[in-house]
Amino acid sequence: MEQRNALQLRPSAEIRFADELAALKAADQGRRPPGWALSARAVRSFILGDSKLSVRRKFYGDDALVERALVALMSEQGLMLVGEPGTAKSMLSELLAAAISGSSMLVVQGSTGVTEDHVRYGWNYALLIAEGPTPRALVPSPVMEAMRLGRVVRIEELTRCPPEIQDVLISVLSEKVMAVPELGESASVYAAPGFSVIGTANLRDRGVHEMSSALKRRFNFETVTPLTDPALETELIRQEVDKRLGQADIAVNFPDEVTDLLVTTFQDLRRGQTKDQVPLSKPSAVMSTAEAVNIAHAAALEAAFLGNGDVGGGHIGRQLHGVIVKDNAEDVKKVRAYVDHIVKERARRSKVWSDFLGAVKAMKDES
Amino acid sequence: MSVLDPAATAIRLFDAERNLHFFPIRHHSPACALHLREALRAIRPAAVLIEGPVDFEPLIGELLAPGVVPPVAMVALPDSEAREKGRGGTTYYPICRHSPEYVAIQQATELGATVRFIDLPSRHPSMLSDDRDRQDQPLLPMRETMFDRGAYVEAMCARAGFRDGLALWDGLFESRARNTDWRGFFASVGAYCSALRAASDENELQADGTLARETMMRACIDNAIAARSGPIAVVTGGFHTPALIDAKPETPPPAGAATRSNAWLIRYDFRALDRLNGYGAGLPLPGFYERVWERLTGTNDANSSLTEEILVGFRAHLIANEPALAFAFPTLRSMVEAARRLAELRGLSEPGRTELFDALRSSAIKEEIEVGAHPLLAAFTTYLQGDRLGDLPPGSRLPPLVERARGEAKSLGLSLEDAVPKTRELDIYRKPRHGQTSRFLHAMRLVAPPFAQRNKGPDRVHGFRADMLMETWTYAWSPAVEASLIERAADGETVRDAAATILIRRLADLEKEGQRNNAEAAFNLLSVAFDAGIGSAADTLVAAVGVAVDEDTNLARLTNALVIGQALNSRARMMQSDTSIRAFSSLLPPLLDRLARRIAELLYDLAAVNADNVGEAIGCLAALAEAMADPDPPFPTEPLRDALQHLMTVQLDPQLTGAVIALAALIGLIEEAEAGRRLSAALAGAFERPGDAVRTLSGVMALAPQLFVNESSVIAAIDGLFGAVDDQGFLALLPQLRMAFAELSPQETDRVAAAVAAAHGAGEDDIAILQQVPDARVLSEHLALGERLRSQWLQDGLAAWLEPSP
Repeated sequence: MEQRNALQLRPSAEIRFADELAALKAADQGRRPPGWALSARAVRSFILGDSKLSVRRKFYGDDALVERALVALMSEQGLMLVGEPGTAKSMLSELLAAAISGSSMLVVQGSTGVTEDHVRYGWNYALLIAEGPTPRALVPSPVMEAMRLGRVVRIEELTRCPPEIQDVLISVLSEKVMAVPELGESASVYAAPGFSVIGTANLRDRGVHEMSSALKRRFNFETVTPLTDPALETELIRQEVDKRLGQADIAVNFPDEVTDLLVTTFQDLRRGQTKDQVPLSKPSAVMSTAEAVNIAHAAALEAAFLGNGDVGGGHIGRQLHGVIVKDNAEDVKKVRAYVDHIVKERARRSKVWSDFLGAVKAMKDES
Repeated sequence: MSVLDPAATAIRLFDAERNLHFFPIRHHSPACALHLREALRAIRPAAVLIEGPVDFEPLIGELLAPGVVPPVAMVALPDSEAREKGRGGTTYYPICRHSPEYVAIQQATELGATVRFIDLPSRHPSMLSDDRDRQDQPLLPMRETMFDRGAYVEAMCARAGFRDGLALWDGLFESRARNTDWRGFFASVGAYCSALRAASDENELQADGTLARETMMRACIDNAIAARSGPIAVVTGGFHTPALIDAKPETPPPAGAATRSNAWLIRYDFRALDRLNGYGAGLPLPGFYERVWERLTGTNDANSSLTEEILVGFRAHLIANEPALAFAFPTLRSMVEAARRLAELRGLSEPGRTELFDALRSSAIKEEIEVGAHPLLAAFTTYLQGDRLGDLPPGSRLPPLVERARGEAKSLGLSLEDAVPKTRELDIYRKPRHGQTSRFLHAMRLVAPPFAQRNKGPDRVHGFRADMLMETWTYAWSPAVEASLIERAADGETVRDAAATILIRRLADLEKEGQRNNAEAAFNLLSVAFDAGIGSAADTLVAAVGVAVDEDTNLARLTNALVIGQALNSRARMMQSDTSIRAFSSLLPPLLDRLARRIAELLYDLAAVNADNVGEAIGCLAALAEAMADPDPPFPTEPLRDALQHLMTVQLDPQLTGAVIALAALIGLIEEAEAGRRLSAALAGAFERPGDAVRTLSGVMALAPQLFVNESSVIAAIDGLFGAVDDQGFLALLPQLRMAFAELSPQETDRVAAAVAAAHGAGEDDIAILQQVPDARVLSEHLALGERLRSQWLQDGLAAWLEPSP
């Protein structure tokens, strides 16, 4: 198991943070809700950090949201995390599952292709033909496994699943039981204490299936918003980039001023106005912190492999283009206006900003 | 920055040796109130010193009178001098049942202790804001914004996991209300406040008057010690406590400490109280904290918990008032559960304000929340704000303006029993009492806008029509009215005096905005004064209006002013029984005389008007026509007639020519037949643009369409014009013609049509009426197309096609 994990591109949360989870467990004095691996307060510390136990903060933003999420999971309700893409919904659900159940591996990746087999159970057809419907031939879904083991199951992008699949969850969440009629009249899997569902959804995306109000009622909703505090966002980006570069043994000089530029640009475009309340048109592209991390990472890679190892405004400028044109051409115009009016002003006073301006302008001319 | 050791402060709060006890509090905090009550019962002080403006001390007796129901507020009104200096805000010291100060006053009185207020007088310069932008905002002697922001609060929030200063306060202190150890409680509050204090900027405290106030407080404490007859309790905002504990050798009260003020106790309400919290007046949501207080003091011993009571009550409130937002019963159950679990998770003994909001948010809202705003959260805030109205016993002392306003309203037969809006119809000209009521309501509209609204009545927009004899009003007496009156109380003792002050201030505002020479605005104010029957302010107003008239160079504003003045005069004639109106009617004629002469001077300039700004000039002439339509105008018409006579002899813009001719005919300067002749001549005029001649017509129509309709020679002139132009010429004229004829009423159009038909030998039956007039653009496009076809056919030798078919 260990062996295989070393080769994984991204080990699961319970493995990445095994030390922290162990430390929290050792120090945990609180009452554990039935079926939970840690007390609610220890889970909170795991996600929001605890300097005494040197547990790092993993989720930045609304602390009360984490508390409300924990309370939802302790109750009979499921937890539904909604919000724009890139606001760390999936990460939060993974962390919650890892800390509460000790495992974040029970997950259904929502998509139009999800069938009942993925949320109820399927069959090993060879065994089914040879032995008939027996428990041995039954292939449980992650949901069924979670019920049996009393764990948290995660359903990513729930609104991308077809409505009939979503409906399966209604009875699972309210009755906490899943019948297996093929195994006999009374054959059912009952949810063990600790079972809960965390869904994530992007309600604003086009082409998603509307959730039925019956299903909505069984979930507590939490809106995860982009970070509004530039200091927090800066810290988060630095941490993430350092981690990614560290894993690949890459060393670059990433000045604070460059991170500031990245965060300022993202905050300006995301809010549709600058710090000084200068209004600007807001691009429709997703300007999430995750995207900012990607840009910073890519800029660092460019500096390391194609440059002299010093990350500058130019690197950020070249990478920004990729984020913006992802969605539509209108955005390019909006960013052009931003660059022409606001960045130009800043470029007069700062080398980093003027490199940034130069790079974005060069892109513009190409396109 | 002064550094205070929190631990040391905590110990020295209760100094048994000096028999001096300090109680750091936060305003409107039930936990502080409850612990304070217990503490006072234990200490049995001989004197209780409270952070309140010393000039409010006489109100303590009134506050304790039977029949006083909080929320009430002690207020101090600015004097006229303060207003002039831009320190015009009213000082508010709101009190609710769970205010520690109120509880301390009650308890002290019960124990027979003397109660003293030890803060600077409310109108002392150090208590007033120097910020000119804030001058009309309420002033609060008890501001405590430091609890909500600052480096220390932020650091504490981050460390303890609270989202803001308020949640931090709730979590640290309100949650300890049931703890019986008041010493421990105040020690903690003291330690917290010392740290707040240590992290604040001394210069800022100097600038905002905090240090001066504390000098005063220390001086008062010293006095109390000198006159001591037992233990002394000092109740102040926790932020001040650290600065008061150490006696400084000499603390003379700051200069001006003896300032007296105009202080009153008034009814207040929770909504107003909560609005004040926007300025840092203590804990918000008084409705919530009052419920907490009821629980703490056992006045509410319901079986349900506070959480249940509030959430169940909120659901019932939604079902009754906002059913669209109401949530299902199972949701209610999961909310109660969520609130409890959150409290447990956060280490609180029971759910507080934050937990209730969090529970609502996570259980009842099944969708994405945009930037923290959701109608359900807003509704919950309003619900927890509460809507309690305070009360004072009958016969309470109120500022004279309030008493007078109530008295006058009652004597006029207006019903003030409840806050339900009532409607009143007034026959303002024929019934003197109705006229009086109208003037009172108009004055109240200036002084206390929430009281009355006029739904219908003569005004500039609807015209001062003679048939507009009635006014309709909706009015209701509410605490908001009283509050407005109290804010204006310094402006005068009667509604009329206050209204006059307000008008004169508006006049001054005009001057400040560079509108000193705006005759129209000045006349509008005069008109307001007239409606409100403010004879006393008339002199000042009339003088200012005179200046505006002399200095205004804008003909449009002047002519509008003349219309207003003429209307005022004619209305005054209908209401001669009222003394204030008589005052007006004697002042108006000289003013209107100046105005008319001024207008006449400027009329000569119309010769320079060209096509670009002719519209405004036409407007001026139309206004002049309106004012001069008065058969007995209250201003000399000779200068105006002379000016018009002159204008008829000079070359003007065609449209203006039409308007001048129309006006001249209207006021009888020329005969209608003469006007017709002049118009015909003008219409036949040769201009480089064919449409220009027709614009003459627009000028006439704007002022006197009847001239066109009545005078057949004009119709004949236009008819002749049509005959003279070819079809292309007609198309070019069409837009101008449409514009001109748009002024006519349907009946007038009919009459013109009949006249034209008759001129061409057709009877009325021959007139085909185009019922559905097509879009003007489409019509002219089609006509142009027809014309192109015609010329094409002619070219192609198809002229025969154009002959009418046999």
